[in-house]
Amino acid sequence: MHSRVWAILVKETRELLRDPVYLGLSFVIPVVMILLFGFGLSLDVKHLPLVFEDHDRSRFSRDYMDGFVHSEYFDLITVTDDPRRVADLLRSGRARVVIDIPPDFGRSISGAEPVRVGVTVDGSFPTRAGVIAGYVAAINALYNDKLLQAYLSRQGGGVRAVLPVQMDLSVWYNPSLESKNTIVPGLLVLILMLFPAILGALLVVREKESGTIFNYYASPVRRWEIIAGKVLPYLGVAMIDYLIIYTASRWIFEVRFTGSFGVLTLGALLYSVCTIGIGLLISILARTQLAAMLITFLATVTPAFNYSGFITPVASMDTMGQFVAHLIPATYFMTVVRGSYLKGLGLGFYWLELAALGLYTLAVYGACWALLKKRIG
Amino acid sequence: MTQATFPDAPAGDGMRNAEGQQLIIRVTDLRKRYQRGRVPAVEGVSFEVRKGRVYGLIGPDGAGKTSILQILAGVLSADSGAAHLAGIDVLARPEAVKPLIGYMPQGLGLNLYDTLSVEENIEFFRALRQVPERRFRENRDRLLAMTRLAPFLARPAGKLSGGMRQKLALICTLIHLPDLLLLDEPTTGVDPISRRDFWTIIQDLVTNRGVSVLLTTSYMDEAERCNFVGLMADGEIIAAGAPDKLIAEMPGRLQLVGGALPQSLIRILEQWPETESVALFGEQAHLLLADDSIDVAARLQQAGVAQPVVRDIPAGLEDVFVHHVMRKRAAARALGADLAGLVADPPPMQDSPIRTEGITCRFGDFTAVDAVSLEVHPGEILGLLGPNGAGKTTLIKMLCGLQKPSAGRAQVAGLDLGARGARRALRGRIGYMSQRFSLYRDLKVAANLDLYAGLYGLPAEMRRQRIEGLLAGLGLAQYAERRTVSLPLGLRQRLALACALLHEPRLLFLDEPTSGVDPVARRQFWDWVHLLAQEGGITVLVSTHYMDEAEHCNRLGLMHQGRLVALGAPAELKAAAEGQGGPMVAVQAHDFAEAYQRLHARFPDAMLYGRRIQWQSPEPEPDIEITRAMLAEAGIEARVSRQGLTMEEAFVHFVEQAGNGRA
Repeated sequence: MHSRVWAILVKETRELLRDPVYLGLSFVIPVVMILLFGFGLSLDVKHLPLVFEDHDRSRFSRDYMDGFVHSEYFDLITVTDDPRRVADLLRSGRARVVIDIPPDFGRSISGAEPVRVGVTVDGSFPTRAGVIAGYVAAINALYNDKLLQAYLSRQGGGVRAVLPVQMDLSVWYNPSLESKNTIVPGLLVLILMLFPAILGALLVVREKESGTIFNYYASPVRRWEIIAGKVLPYLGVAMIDYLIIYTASRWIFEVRFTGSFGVLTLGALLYSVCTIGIGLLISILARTQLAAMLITFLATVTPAFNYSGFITPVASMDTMGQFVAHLIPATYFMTVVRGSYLKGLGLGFYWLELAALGLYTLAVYGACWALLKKRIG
Repeated sequence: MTQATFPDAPAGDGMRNAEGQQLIIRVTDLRKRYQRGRVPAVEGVSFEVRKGRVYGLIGPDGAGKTSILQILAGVLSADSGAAHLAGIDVLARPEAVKPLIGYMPQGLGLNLYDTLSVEENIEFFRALRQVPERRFRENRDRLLAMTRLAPFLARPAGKLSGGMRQKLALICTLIHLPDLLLLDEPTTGVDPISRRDFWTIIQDLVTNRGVSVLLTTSYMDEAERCNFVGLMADGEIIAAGAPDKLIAEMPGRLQLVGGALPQSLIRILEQWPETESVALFGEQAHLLLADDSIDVAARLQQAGVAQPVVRDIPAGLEDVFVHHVMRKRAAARALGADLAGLVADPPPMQDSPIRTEGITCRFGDFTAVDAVSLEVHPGEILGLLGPNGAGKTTLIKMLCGLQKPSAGRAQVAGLDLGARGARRALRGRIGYMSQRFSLYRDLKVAANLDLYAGLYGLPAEMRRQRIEGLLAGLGLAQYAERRTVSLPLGLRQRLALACALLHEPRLLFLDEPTSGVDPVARRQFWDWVHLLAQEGGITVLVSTHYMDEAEHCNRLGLMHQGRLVALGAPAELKAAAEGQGGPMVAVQAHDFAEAYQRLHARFPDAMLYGRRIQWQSPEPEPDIEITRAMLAEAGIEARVSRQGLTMEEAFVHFVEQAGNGRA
């Protein structure tokens, strides 16, 4: 290898391996982050604490409650007929949903009269409240269906009720509709944005602070040699992080992976070069390590978290949001990652994203090269 | 075969001076301002450096030295002017000069990587400079031997002492054997042993390899080691030439005046129109007169000084500097008229203000101060002299109650430091001026004093009177409404002194008060310190790394690696070192390079000081005979003489005697 690049590369690697802060930023914190977020950040709404306010206490009311109790979506906290206790449970958050069964529930059903069941939902988190309402409506519909079937069979004559329109739901790419299947690959995008960029952001400014930057400025070393020698070791770090996260996603979080490992790796490589470059660019412009870190954090993670499609799909954003989304590299890599994990598409489907990442990378490094002046003023 | 990328012979021999001598640097009317022209740094500087010579840019902080070096190293742009290096236009083609130079930035080993070992650092610079293997090995081994760093190859650079770091930094800077070395304050704060090693390397490179050196320094005594110096102040070169010539050509006459109370002496001498400068050195004053025909003794007697002592003394480079600065600035130096504001009432005679027994401070397995025992007498100025990292600041902090000693005892201002509450009580009795400027830069001068008066809990009715007294007494009254940040370093230091004096302490600790301050301001600062001690009866403990400031102190403690290696009056220390190790033998020859080659073979300790060759000799008389015979045989005309030791040479002697020779 080119010997000046090699010299810088060896020096950077040695400094990295001997500095606990850099080692931590390189390997420890990314792993902690994937574990914390992987286990902790779930968008699934399950095991909701449910309370029945049963004023009927009949066979019918118990039958109605069964439908909820046997669902994995609800955990029955208690059955009571004390409205004040119910209010307490809701207020303290020990219950998220309360179903109020009126005293004449059994009688009305037997008499084939409609009866109204009161459903109270904690609306502090609107998304969750919406999901709860949906679940309750669905289980309620199942109960109605069951009553109808029972009535018809009692009427005899082999009459069976058939609901006019029935739905066959098949969910592609994430059949179990588990959020980990989207969250964990999304974390790969975020982590490969944040840490390579932060490490990259320290590359030049650290030497500016210590004064060692003059070693380059006052020697015949070329600008591209400085950039290459400094970026390559951290590209190694990013790829090791990538392999760790990939392994964790497959065998700790058991995320479905249906695509090509090769394509994903190619994307990760390109993306990491790009994110280190963004950090490097900030490093070239900043004067202190602290400023470089803060700017990097604001400039990389914040947009990546909000606009890359990690939480909200890019297609559902407004025009401004979509515009921002296409300005950040995370969006392109997100498409590659989600596709590789869930859709199993080959290289042919991603050439546009990969080309965009490539162009982005070229632009970033071009700016680095142009702005890295071997002078102080 | 094309020539290798590594230049074997210095390139670019196109530049010659008027006498046809080869030049390595030619700078013409160079100018540089910072912050869009608001802050001037270099204001029309021109100079030439001959190939194979050591050129020193001498001056205080902010004189523009670093800017010039950075422009020549191709890492800073210039506003106008021209700079040529080995025939290459640096301003137009900065990259072209970079293979030819080695640039060492300011600060102790700032070009090193702390987590990398000595060997790895050297290896990095070799690879960065693409030095061929054979040349690298040979060069490296020689440099390691000269610096005595070979046993520490595996040690991380961050765990080296300041002096060792700086030597390693030098090795890294010249591992590719550059044609020109640009060294920015390479020896500031470095211990004398490392400094000597440092100069050994420089002399070796210059004599044996024809390397040229441009260095900057704020040490006047160091300038004498250069072949040629440019004295810098306020972005200009105010005088340039060979050091001995500059001293010889200084007009007027330098005289030592004594025989009366210094404070009355200085006031009388200042009145005279012919007086160019007066500086107090302990009980005596150095007087520089523009007119050398004046009978100083007679005049003093007229002025009422009973038995004045007046004798001529040789000038030093600092006197030359002060002379040129005073001429340029045409500034009247006026001491504040009355010191009544500084010292309220005559002090009671105290017992020893400071007495320590084996006081020690350890940080982990590092001993910063190692069993120091000393006693400071009332009203004296005791100096702690030593390099960075010698333990001066830690010792002062312990005595101020800012740092807890690990072992030993200390009594300060009548308080036993070990006693409960002593450290708190101590703060009301002592004044402390820290090494780093600790005032608020954005406050006005008076506001800073007001703030500190509040911090010391001065009663409001006393406060105004005290602040006005100090402003007047220290000559700061005209700056009272200026923002502190706009003051030059020397004035800021004086303001810091005023803050330390607010609560009328009897004992004053000054930690490197004059570091980086220009010689004129430095002399003024020392005048205040002398007057405080003599008129106010204040006891002063002051630290410094300037060898030439030693003469200001009544007694001096030499510190090295946490230990007090010697304690005594400056003259005593020099006499003791001379008595034990012999005086210096000095040789002045026109063909000094040839003389050095020959003498160095016979006397390995011989070193070049500019054009002078000298070494310490336990047997001076026979050595002088041998030297005369050797030079006569070689047909070299020379003056061989016996000389006393300078403080730096005495320091080296005591350090080696203490068994700390390995720096």
